[in-house]
Amino acid sequence: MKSSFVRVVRPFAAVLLLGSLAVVAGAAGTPAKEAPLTDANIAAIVLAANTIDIDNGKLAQQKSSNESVKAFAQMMITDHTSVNDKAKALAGKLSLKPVPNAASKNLVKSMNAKRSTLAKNKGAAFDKAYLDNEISYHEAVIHMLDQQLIPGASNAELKDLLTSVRPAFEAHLTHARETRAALKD
Amino acid sequence: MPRSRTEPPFRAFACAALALLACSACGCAQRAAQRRSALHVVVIRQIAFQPAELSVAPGDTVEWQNQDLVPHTASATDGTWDSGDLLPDKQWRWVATRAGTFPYACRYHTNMHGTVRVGG
Repeated sequence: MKSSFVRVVRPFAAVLLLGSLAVVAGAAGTPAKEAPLTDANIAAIVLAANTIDIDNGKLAQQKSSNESVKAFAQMMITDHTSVNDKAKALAGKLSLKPVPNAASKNLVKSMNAKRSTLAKNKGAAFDKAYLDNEISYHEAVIHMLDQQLIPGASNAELKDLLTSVRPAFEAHLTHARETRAALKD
Repeated sequence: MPRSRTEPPFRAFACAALALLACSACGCAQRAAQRRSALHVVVIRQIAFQPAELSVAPGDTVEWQNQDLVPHTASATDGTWDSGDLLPDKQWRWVATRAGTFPYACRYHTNMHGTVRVGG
């Protein structure tokens, strides 16, 4: 069980870790230095993370013929679009222009590559791969919320938004696991 | 003459009793009016109905307010009422016209449950 969890989560965790470090390369041999996330960086990560799962959901809507998988995918599209709308509205209110950083760029790059791989699957194999990906994605994002985004947010309203969105990600994770468990291996 | 001596206290007592009855009746009427128009609010926040358990009187109104970041529904398990899609910052009202226990859930987020008990 543990090995399965590690196998699935590791790629996401590695991407998030590498990205979030935002390594500032100095002269050769200079130790890497971690740049703290700004609220503008956090906003960019939130928007990127939601957009990734919206696109995953759209892919599942196109490729799956399983009603429970399609319903889950529709919920991902609806919920993550709604969260992004709220995040954009808050950014506008705070005059906060999202600034992509290494974390958000790596996240997008990695997830786009993952989506291309997913798209090659068909039928039941696609459904399983999509849900496995959703499980690892939500685990990784929840971990990132807890370890970096919520503690790193300076603005109180941004921190509140991040805190408020966490239960939705947990509910998605639970739903993804239940839907995946219901599929026949 | 004796009558004139006893009449003022009796009249005062009668007036006081009538006033008390009138106030009592008035209070009952007010309370009844308040019951008829009672509004109960259930806030939807962070993937939960708050409060999840609610007791109301017949004729009361329950309002669900979606203060969450994502759309939800308040859908009776027996299918007798349904808010439909309740977008963030929107609300929906249901008048509890008949007594009973009404479990409900969000159709999208299956871990969200609540119950409205309508007293007889």
